[in-house]
Amino acid sequence: MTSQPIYGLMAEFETPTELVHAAKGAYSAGYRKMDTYTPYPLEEAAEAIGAHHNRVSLIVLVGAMLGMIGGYSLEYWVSAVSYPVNVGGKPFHSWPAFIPVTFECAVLGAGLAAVFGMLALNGLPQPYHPVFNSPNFDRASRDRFYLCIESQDPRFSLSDTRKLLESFQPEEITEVPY
Amino acid sequence: MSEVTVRLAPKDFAPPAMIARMRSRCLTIGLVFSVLAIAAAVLHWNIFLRAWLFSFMFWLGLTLGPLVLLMLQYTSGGNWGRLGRRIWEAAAGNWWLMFLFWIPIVIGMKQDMLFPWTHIDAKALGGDKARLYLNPTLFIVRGLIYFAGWGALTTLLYKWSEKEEAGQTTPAQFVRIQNLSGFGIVFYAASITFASIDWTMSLYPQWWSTVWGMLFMVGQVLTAFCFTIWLLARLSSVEPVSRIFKVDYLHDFGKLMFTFVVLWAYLSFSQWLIIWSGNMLSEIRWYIMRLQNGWQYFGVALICVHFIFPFALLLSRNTKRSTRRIVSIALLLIFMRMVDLFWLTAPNFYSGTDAGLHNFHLTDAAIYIVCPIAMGGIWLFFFYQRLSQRSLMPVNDPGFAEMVEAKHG
Repeated sequence: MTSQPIYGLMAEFETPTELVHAAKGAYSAGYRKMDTYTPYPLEEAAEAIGAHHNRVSLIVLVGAMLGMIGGYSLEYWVSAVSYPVNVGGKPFHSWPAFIPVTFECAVLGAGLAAVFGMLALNGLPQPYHPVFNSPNFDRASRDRFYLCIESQDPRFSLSDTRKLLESFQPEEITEVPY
Repeated sequence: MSEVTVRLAPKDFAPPAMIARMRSRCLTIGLVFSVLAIAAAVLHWNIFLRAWLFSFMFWLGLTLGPLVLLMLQYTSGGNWGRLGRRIWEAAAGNWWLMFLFWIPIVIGMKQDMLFPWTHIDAKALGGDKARLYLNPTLFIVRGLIYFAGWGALTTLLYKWSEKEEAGQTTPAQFVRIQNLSGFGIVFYAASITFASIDWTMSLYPQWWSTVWGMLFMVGQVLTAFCFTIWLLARLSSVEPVSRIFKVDYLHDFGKLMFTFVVLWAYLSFSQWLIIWSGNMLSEIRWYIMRLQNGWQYFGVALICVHFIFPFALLLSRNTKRSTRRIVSIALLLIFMRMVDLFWLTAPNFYSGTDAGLHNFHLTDAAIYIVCPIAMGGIWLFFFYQRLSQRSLMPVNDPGFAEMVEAKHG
């Protein structure tokens, strides 16, 4: 046992099934400040720790709307206000012809909003993160599944949390130093 | 985690009694409306033919859409495919019924009552060359080729599936059915392109659109997805499907339905945009016919209810995971598929310069409603008949055991 403050307790699992089981167990035991680390996206793990729903989709929707309005306004302003040109006798405000640009701008707006909204909400890029201090953690990007309960959680206690994690029969439990 | 392997057998997924009930109900509806349809055929043969063609195109979509999904899931894999396989096999198995339903259309063509190219002169048709393709003999020959191909593919896929269910195949042999499916998808794409030209585009032989076949492919697959969602949601509330059904599957089907709604809108709009931009006399007339005299309301309804409304709702993850909501959208889209096919095929017959939709009387409307229901009742009867004969899930599929394991990730 170290006397240093630690970042959390990390349990290592061999299969995603065990990880999701443990994550669900920890969530129902009242833990909230925890995270799972997996080699590939694991929706059920995110759901198990109650982290699935976030604001990114709303940001993307707003981005798409802004792109849509922006694209259409640009077309309208260019073709009907600033520089009207008679093309084949069609009206200056020929909405069908504006739809492709409107659509593309909506996609662009949504794409940019998705990337930057995601970065803004998840705090990336993050050059230092304590979980990498855990000795085996590089396997999180290969073949192991990790659940880390953070010491910031009000329910966290070194002995009780360890006992809870042990009940899920992980391969290994490590203390993650800051 | 315990390592207990439960060996599943086809009898674990025996179809529920519900299917037999649905089957007999469909037969009753089918027979009652068939009597009405026959009466309509006797009294108003020409109107009956138009309505028959319209409902033929709709139910053909519900036969061929499943056929291509069946082949697609063999080539691509995925749990959604295993879940829908029996439904699609039963639906594609109705190809012979669609062949019988096709015969009145051939008779109508022979009687010069459906397709203008059988009786207008070469000049109006755009030259003698058009006759090389649009002539009664080749119309029938091509039709026979399409049905022979669809029938052969369905039969081969069905035979394989029965062998697999009997446990007479190995996972290594699975590649054979995958190769057949790959070829079958190509055949489907080619045959439906020509079939849609023969049976719908040639209603206005002076007009053409290169995206026409694609429009029908996408429409058929969309119809198939909507139908699958509706039926799976019904089956998922009772044994045996309820044992393995997860809301994730509904979510997957919802995403696929969403994709095809967008694809339909994309293709329909690009056809309209290109013709509208070109503004050529030969092409624009087809749209002018559909954008005045009352037909324009159908066009607006298609944009709003076939695209914008379901698109906006299906964007949400929660909608796709709610059984009630996704089934409502699926049913709405099935109805809009019919509206779309109506708008694509009917205005040719009611395009008079002064009247348009006003020529579409109550009698016409009644026959246009009776025909699809009569055809559908019979179609669904044979569909449920086939569905009730086998297990509802492909238990011996190489990936099935993995799918039902309570596994995460």
